Amino acid sequence: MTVGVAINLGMGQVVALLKIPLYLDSLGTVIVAAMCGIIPAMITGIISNLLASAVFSPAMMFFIPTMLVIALLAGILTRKGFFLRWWKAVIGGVIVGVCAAIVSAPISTYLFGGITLAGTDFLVLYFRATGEELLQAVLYQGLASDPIDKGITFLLAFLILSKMPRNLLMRFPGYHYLRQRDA
Amino acid sequence: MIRYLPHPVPVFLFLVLIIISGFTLSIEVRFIVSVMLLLLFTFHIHGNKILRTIVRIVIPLCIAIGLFMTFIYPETEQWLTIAGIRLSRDGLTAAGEMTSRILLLFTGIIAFFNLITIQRLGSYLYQNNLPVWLVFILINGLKFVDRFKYKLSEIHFYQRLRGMPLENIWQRWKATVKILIPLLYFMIEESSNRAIALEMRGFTATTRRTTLKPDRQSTIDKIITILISGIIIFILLRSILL
Amino acid sequence: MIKAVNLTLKDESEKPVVSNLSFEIYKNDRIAILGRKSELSTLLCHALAGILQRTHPSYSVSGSILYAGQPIEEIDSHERTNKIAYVPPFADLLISGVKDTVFGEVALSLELTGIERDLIHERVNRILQRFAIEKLSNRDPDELSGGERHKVALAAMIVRAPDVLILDNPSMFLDTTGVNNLLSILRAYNGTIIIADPNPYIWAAVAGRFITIEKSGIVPYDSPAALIHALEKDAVHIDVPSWHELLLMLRQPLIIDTEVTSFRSLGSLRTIIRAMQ
Repeated sequence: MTVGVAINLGMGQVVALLKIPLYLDSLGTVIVAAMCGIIPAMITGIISNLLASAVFSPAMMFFIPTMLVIALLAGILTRKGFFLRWWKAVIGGVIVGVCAAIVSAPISTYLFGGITLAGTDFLVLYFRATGEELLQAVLYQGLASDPIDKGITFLLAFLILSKMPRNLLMRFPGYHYLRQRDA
Repeated sequence: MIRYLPHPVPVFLFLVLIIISGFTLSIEVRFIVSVMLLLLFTFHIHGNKILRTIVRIVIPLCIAIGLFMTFIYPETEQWLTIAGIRLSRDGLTAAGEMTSRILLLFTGIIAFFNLITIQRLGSYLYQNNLPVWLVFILINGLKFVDRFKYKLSEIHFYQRLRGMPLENIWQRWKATVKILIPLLYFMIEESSNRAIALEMRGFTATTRRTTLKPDRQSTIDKIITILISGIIIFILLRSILL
Repeated sequence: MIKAVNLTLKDESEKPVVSNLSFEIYKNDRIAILGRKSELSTLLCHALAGILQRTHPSYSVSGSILYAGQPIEEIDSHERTNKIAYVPPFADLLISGVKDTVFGEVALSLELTGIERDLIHERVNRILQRFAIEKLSNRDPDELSGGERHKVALAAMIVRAPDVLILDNPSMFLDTTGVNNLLSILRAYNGTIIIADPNPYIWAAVAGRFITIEKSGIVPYDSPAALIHALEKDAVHIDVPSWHELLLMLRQPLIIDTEVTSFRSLGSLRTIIRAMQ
């Protein structure tokens, strides 16, 4: 436990950095989930969303639940060995993306009426025009864009983790799930 | 000019109040409250910063959402037509609903983060026996980003000294991507070293701790705390009873 | 107090870095770890501080290090850090930034132990004075220069007054006054000090016992005289200044024979050592 806490102490910083790009904003959480576990990743997610809402957009504060789901799923998938191959990582990303979309759709519908100003809004308009309810339109938009986003996030996380020097990676409890045992 | 910087407790209650009222009050009241808040902040010492952030983030978002919501109900009852664009009553109501809520919520959150520094929030949490490493992450999260940027610019400087061409954007981008991941590893390693070092300073202590300068509420803080709590209870009771 | 029993460290390629080392460190001992390779002394420091498994997870350890009769890894980490403090070479890592003044940062180490406020004020002020950084006490640690931050970090660690203080290359970022202040603090320190510093001016001024890291193995020397004796026989390979200065630095009583201009002449040195013993 102390180890996890201490690592979290350090990793929280790394994460705050990785949060910043508008999309791929869960890369840090995914990396911490893979390296340290679910609880540190959740703490990372909460703190980085709080800081992001202080610096970037206040909206970030309301997406903490999404971040928690991502942290939880990424942690579980790591334990199932999804970070051992790049295609597995992408599949894991898509799964997480679907779940993230389901969680964030009600939030963004109720709060912003589905608008994100992120270039994917025309999708909402399109689905709305085909006669869907607003919540569904937002959900479809999320399902169309989130899996791609999370797939890329997981792929990046995989690249970062797989190239990481062994000595460094071994310091973290998630090591056994990230590297295949040496024969 | 109001120079008053409130204690974390009333500011936090203020945030709770704003969030609750964002979801309970009617559209008109929300607009009125937002405008009143904005007026209040024009007289505050950090008013400039707060207003600037609101103009930069909230106003564009409100306009975008307003337009978006207005046009998103094409199938429902036509209300009026301006220059060939058909508006519906539902659309306008939804637009009002969204914009008023966002204006109020975002004004509240932006004010929250400007009225209280992360440092003060951290030391308040520390004083209330929150684990010190959590406070550490909270406070250092933003500093860390600056550190990363600084390291990056430092490396660019040395690359240029070594005669690496960094004139156009493409070259600079290529040079950055090459060092980004190694730099990330360096940062991760440093962070884990820092974790061990801070543990050596007793950061994992779970025993009772002393606080050298406790952050206590002043009289104004206490009055505001009671006032805001009263309003919160009133709103909650009203929304439950009605 | 600390006892190494048959300590063997092997690196990733199963090559032994330290083999079969046994020594004992007593209360209030002053020990210097000497060696040409600073990585090895760092490794030994980590092992003594009980953090080797975390900083070098790929190393395999056999044998054990006992603290007060208990294997060091088995002591609860919080209890261990209260008793054994390791100061890394980049002491900058010790500055948390949780507090926005130097005073707060140093006091934080004591606040976490829960002692009374007056006592904290007294102890923090004393350590800041002894490092001659009391002028900085209201500054933000983030605005200080590297050397000043290093002093603050050392102060923040030493103020906790752990039983065992392990300093890894403490003089790296210090100026001359800083070194002198540090030395006077260490001399008066009530507790065991283990110091690994390549600078002979530092270790010779502090230490009374020595552990040298050689290619052939790690050898403990129990007194300055024993170390000098080994140096004389060319059995130790460490960077030392001239004999004359070394003897002075080791605070050995020395009557300089005016005829002996070069202490490289072994005969005269041997006479001096005999006289010392």
